[in-house]
Amino acid sequence: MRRAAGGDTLAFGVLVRTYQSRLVRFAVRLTGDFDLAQDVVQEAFLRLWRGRKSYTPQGRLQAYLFRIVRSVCLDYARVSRPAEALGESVGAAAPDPAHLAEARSLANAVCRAVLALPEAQRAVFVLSQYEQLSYAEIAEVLDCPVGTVASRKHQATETLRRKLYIWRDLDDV
Amino acid sequence: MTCDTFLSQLPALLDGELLPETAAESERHSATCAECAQVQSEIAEMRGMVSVWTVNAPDIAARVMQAVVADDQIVLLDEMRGLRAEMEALRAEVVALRRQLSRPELPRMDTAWTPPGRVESDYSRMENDPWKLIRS
Repeated sequence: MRRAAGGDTLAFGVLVRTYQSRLVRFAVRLTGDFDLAQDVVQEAFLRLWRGRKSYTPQGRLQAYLFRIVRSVCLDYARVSRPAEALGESVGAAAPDPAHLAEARSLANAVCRAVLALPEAQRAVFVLSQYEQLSYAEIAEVLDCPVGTVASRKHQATETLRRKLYIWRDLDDV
Repeated sequence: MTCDTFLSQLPALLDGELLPETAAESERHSATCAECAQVQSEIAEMRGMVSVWTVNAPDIAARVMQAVVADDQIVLLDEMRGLRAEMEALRAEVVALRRQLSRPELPRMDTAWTPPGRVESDYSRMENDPWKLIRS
């Protein structure tokens, strides 16, 4: 980032390739919109580039990038859509092709349930569950106390537990 | 540990975020409370379910770098437009100053001003004798 701050576009390109996948996945799970997520991440990197001269390293760059992506998502502020409209954003992991249809149905249900969470809880849940960030790292991204992160994770978990309860008997998924 | 405390800390327990002694206390409570153990099982199962939702992130590095280059060009063009506007303003000032300096009605420093219609000089009193002015 120091080299990028000096205008080194090659260095900035390395930074982009390093973080793009995680940021796109995060944006998809925040917005529920695959195309929008790509636009969001592009805009996030643009904001980072425009502000490169005034960038001062405070904490981890990854947390800073997640924070920018979330900020851009809030700026765009789309209403969450039903999972059926999400199309290619809803991928499904299945142990074998025979269970792919069930996995996809479950994935759609999970997608709908996560997107229905309040934004603050959704951000915590996505960063914790899917991006494997610690509570301290999430607190750095969201600029809130660790206790608040734990509280939101608890609320999100409880909501999802109740919403996805009916899927519990799909042992093969 | 009460059930409410256990349930509020349960996600943190499963995330490995509790201090060792708190985690141990939670595990002891779970071992002795069937309802809380049931909730713990459901949450653990839910965490497995949500992992089914995958996202295949495409490679957007090329489009991002194109946008970065284009953005820099826009900034440069804006700066050039600003400089051009300044130059035009300066040029207009120079033209206005030149016009002021070349106005004919302004008095010249090397001649005396004579009101229009009256021309009074030594030559007008001469009787066609140019040498008279010199002798006088």
